[in-house]
Amino acid sequence: MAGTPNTSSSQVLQKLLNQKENGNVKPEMLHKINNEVERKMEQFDLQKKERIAKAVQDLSMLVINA
Amino acid sequence: MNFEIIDIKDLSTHLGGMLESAFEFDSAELADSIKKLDTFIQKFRPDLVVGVESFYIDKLYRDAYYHYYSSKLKEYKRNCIRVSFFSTAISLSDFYSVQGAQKLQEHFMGFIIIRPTSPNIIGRNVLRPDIFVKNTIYHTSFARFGAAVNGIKLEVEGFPHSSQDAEFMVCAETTIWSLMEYFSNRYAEYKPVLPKTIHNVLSQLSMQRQVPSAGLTGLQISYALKEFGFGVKLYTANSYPGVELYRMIQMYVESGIPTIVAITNQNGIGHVMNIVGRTDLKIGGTFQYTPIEVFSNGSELYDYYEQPANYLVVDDNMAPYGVIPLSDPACNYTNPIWQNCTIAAAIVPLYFRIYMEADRARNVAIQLLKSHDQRAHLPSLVLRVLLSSSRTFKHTVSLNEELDLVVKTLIINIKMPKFVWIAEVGPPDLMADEKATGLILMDATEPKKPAILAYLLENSYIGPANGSSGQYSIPLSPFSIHKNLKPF
Repeated sequence: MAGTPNTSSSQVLQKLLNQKENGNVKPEMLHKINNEVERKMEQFDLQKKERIAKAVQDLSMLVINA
Repeated sequence: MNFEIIDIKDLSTHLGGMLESAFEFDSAELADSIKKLDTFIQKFRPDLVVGVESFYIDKLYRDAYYHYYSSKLKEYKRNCIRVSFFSTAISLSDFYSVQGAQKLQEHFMGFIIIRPTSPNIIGRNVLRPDIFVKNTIYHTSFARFGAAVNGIKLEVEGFPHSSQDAEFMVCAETTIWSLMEYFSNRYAEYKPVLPKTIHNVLSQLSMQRQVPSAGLTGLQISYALKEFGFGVKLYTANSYPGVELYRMIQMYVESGIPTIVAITNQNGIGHVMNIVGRTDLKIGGTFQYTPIEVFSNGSELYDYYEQPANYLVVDDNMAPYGVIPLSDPACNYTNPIWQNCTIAAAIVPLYFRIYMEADRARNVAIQLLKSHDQRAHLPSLVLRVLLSSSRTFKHTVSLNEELDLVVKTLIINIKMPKFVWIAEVGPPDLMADEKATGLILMDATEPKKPAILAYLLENSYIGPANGSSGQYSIPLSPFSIHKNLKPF
């Protein structure tokens, strides 16, 4: 059976968004947030490199035989 | 082949006779073996009915038999005994009718293979977690396993387990076998492996003979898993001190990824086991969290995983689903040599295209919340981070009755990779009831950039909608948190 016209998910979504009175859409918000978070991750990335090296060294000496 | 139905209270006596006749155990072997069996089943429900099949051919034992036991002077039998468990009274006639077969399936609780390797006779087994007497809910990873019991094909949900035979397989091999058995029964990407295959894969890395097994190093376990198709990640207590290692384990286990943990102590113990789930976290809304961040208006951010919980381990020296606190992983051992064991390392078998790790996902979520708080103040929130396949996540969202249709449509329409990191947030009282009020979705295939796909916070949706990205006002009611573990 063929679907009824105008039932694509994009159309449904647009209709629903219109119903929610979305007058305050800020188009670049996600991009800005991603950039802000990226800047704050520098310290984490430096620490991570040290952690990876330590973990490999630790595991090579760990004998599992119990 | 013979099939007999008995009550569980008669199992030891009945099996004792079979071990003598079928396996030709002497009295000392018999006593040691029955003691192991009694210990293994001591926490089983007392109302179980048992089906016992002799002359069972077990693939796991046969691998050990042909590659090791058959070469010894002492004679070992080739066949095993299979013991199947049912939660109601059954009769032989149930095995010969459609209605009977349905009843058997409804009450099938799993099976244990009894192998002729005294005293370590508990072989391959898959048991439902609720076969045990317990006073809390077990949330576990599980796969479905088939067993043709007396001619009837049955299925059981559980995590595969075997005790070590202490010769061909010690904890390192059984833990890898158990993990591969789980993944291969759950996902088409993986194949089951037998112990000889594990030895073959590691032969080029081994500087001495592999049989009898003297164990493996942590790196050898990691190497074997990598060769079997995983993108393995390693975490140690040295590189993730204090509770940081626990948090990593907790996030992966909550995601439904069984995690191998290596435990050690000053007495020279080096052991591995799979953590496959946890007990119920429900402790009410009164838990006093320690803040992990303070927002600009003084409200605080807490970690969901700080709540006290015990974890479920599949350990080849014990029955499956042993309950342990992460701070005392050998608490179920009575021998003093196991005292004061701690988790030294975690080996996480990730799908090979998951590039973002748990600590990065958690940190990205925290930084996002801090950035958002600069724009609109956030209340005190509990943060729960876990990984999910986007298929499972979208399926759960679609069927979540507490989510508004527009939220569902927005989330379902987001382009997602095979796996996503999910950070759920909610006030402490709501999170105690397993309800969240916010959600951050992150691309698990992005190792370097934050890669936030979209987020929902404080009645705002920030993310893609119909091809363009933006911020939309969306009413958001508290909704049930996403679960990858099954409650039993």
